[in-house]
Order: sequence, then structure tokens, then C-alpha cells
Amino acid sequence: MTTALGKSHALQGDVGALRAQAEEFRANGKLIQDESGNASRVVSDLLTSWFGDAAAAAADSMSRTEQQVRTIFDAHSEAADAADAGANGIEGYQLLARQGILAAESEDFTVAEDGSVTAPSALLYVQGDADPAQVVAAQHALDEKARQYEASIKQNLAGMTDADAETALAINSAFEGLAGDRNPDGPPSDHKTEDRSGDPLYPNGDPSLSDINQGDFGDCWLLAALGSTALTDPQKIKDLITDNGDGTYTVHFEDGDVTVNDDALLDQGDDQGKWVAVIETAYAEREGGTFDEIDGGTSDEAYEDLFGADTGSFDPDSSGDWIFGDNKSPGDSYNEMREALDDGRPVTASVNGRIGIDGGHALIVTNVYERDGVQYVEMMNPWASNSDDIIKGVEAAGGEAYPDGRVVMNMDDFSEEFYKVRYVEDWD
Amino acid sequence: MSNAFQVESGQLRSAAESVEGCCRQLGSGRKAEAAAAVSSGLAGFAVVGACESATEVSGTAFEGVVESWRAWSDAAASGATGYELRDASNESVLRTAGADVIA
Repeated sequence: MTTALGKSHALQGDVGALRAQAEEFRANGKLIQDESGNASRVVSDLLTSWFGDAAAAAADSMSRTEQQVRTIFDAHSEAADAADAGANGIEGYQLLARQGILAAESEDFTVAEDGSVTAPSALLYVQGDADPAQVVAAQHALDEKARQYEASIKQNLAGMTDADAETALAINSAFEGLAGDRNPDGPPSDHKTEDRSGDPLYPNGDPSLSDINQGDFGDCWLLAALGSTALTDPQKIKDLITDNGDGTYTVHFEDGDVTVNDDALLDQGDDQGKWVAVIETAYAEREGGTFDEIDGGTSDEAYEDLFGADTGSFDPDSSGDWIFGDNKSPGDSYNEMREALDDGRPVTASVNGRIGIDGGHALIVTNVYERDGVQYVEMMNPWASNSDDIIKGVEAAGGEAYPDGRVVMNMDDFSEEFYKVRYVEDWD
Repeated sequence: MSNAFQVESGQLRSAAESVEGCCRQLGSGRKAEAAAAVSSGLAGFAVVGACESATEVSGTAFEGVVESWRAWSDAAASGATGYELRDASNESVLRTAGADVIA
């Protein structure tokens, strides 16, 4: 909003303060450039002795930090220039407005705050026995001069107002890109990355459940969401990622795009489809730039962030909990999952922790079916394997688990061992 | 020991201290008085709000940079500790120190 400046601003405004602000912007920009330059040299010296993935990840992180420092320095320089230019612009109009006001007031004209000028009475300047016609003529002359003063003063006050508004806009604009949480990245201390530039984005031609292979990193929630989506609607994955053709890939999150380079993607320690690593890395970048940010979460959160989906979740057996539960029997839950899968909507399930898997781990629901009057749930572990402990644990709970990661349980047993089903209610 | 492994824990600690020194300079050297003078000297002007806002955003950006460099400083110090521990067991010193920082 433009603030209309007036007489008091012309007389009392001190543009020297704005010039001092410009110097402060410059000093702070130089400080951040100099000290970051020193820190950068120290760290860079260390990095010359690092190796392989660690060195590449560190260098990449350093590069992002240095870029951020440059951005901050540029913002301060731009703001300083804007403040100096604004001071000059405001001052030019201010001098003219002030001259006009002082000149008018020295001749007994009255200048209002908005620059309006009122002439003094002509009677102050004519003899008492003057011809009335002379008085009228003199008053007309004074009024005309008042109009001239007013036009000049108002024009220069308007110039001041415009210069002030433009300066404010330019300073705001200089720092606009720095607003919000813009902490640059420190070292990627939480996990390794690897160069995947030689790998095809979709090793099986299209996004596939078999591309999911969780290693030693805690993002089962994300991988379960990705695997279930690859199973039910792989085109959603393809629409999510743009191959820029230069080794970079852009992931189109619901709230904005994130671009990552395929020479430094999350290394889980097991082979994953490259598209999976692209999304994991972009997700970490979106959440703050470290992989810790995606170590833990829920699949419905991933469906929402990645696809903008409406999601639902329920306890698969909450029929006995009328107050806090979802009031679903295992049969109701079966029907919900059946409907979602038939409709091409993904489903995951989180385990209680009694079948050889830590509680909270999310599995991909791959199918539900009835056989001989019994309802079954078939799932895939994002680990793409099941240990002997899991196989024994599932068997003890009445189900079957296989070394390739598959788990099958009837609905009653499933409802005992899994505490939450999460799914897409509506893609839009 | 090959040349590639000749970074010592002392160098890592020295680097950590140097970077920490930069953080202190960034924290103590930043000026933030001008906006108040603008507010006083140019009361009623639109630039007052812009300068106040810019000073706030600038402060946040500084904090972000300090946080970033402090993370590097902490990582170097942590790497030095890892280096010293592993050096005692005759492991490849730099590689393990680097892994502590990055992996």
C-alpha cells in the first residue's frame, strides 16, 4: 500500500538514515561473503582428502551452501543499491518540495499537510483606503501564486511518495527469495549417496513393485506408498517425474517441484529402481535437505505430498471400540481394501510388531481375496525379503511368509497383527 | 600410510575450530541497527517497513548460514574423534573419519 507523504515528511524526513541502511546491507553482505569464504576454504581443504561417495556428497552439499551464501550476498547488495537509489530519488523531490513549502510560508502562504496552499488576505498588503478593485485584483494575484505553489509542492510530494514506494518495493524484492526457511544445507551426515547416472529410470520399463528394495534406511512408509502406487496405478509415478535429459530429474510434489541430480541419489545399500531413489532424494530435499527428514513417516502423508490425494486410514478391527475406534469389523476392512484395489487405489498396512518385524513397519497390500469362504490379505514387505524370524513369526500368527517378501494372512489374523490400514480415498 | 590418508585428527580439529570461529564472527559481526534509525528518521515512509522486514529476513538468512557452517564444524570435530578411535585399531584412518562425517 502506498503511503501518501506530506509536508511534515518533506520538512523532517532524513534520507541519511536510508543511506546508513544501505551501508549496513553492504557490510552484512560482505561479512557473510568473507566469513563463509574462510569457512569454505577450510572445509574444501579437508574435502580434497575424502573419497568416493562421501567426497561427492560432501562436495555437493558444499556447493549448495556456497550457492546459498552467494544468494544472500547478492540480496544484500541489491538491497543496498535499492536503498541508495531510493535515498537519491526521495531526496531530489524532497528538496524541491521543501523549497516550495518554505518559500510559500515565508510569504505568509499557509501550506497544509497534503500540500494545499492558501493565500494570505490581500488586505494585509494594501492600504486601508485602497480601491476595493485593487484589493480584489491583489487577492486574485495572491490566489494565483498560491495555486502555483500548490501545484509545485503537490507534484514534488507525489514524486517523494512514488520514490518511497518504489524503494520499499525494491528492498522487499531483493530479499524476497530469502523469506521463509532457507537454511542452507550442512554436510549430509546422515546417509550415503551414490551415482546412478548409468542406470535407466525404470529398470522394468515401467514403475514396478519389484523396484522397491528397502535397505538400511527407515523410509518404509514412503517405499510402501511408492510400491503400492506402482502396483495399482504406475502412470501416477510416471507423471510424477520429469527426466530433464541432463542427468537431473524433477519430482512434481503437490506443493512444488524439486530437481535432483542422478549422480548423488540416496544409497540404501540394496538395489532400488532408480525412480525410487530419485523420489527419496527429492523428498529429503523438499523436507529440509537431509535424509533424516524422511526417516519415519506415514504412507498417507506420502500419498498426499506426492500426488495430492485424499487419503483415509483405519484400524482393521475396531468393531469393539465404539468411542475411539473406526467401528470397522475385519469384514468391513476387507471390503474397503477390496474396493480400493479394484479402483486402482493403493493400500498399505502397518504392523503391530509381534511377527518378527518392529512395530510401525509398513507393508504394501498387493491383493485381497476369498478362498473357501475365508478372506485373505496378501502383502509385500518393502525389504523385498523376509528373514527366518519373520517367516516364523508370521506362521506363529497363523499366516504364511516367504523369503521373497510376500506375506499372506487371513483377515482375522491380519486384524490382530496390523494396527492401521492407510489408503488413497480419491486421487483428486 | 599412503599420502591419501595423511589427514590427521589434529587437522580435523583445527578445521572445526576455524569454521567455528567463522560462525562466531558471523554471529557477532552482523549489524542490525540501521532499520531503527530509518524508522525514526523516515517515520511514515513506506521504506520503514521494508527495511524492518529486510533486517528480519537478513537475520534469518544469517542464522541459516551459521547453522550450516556449525554443522560442518561439528562434523569435522566428530570425524576427528572417530579418526582417533579408529586410528588406535589400525583402520584406514581417513576413510573412516570421512565415513563418520558423511555416511
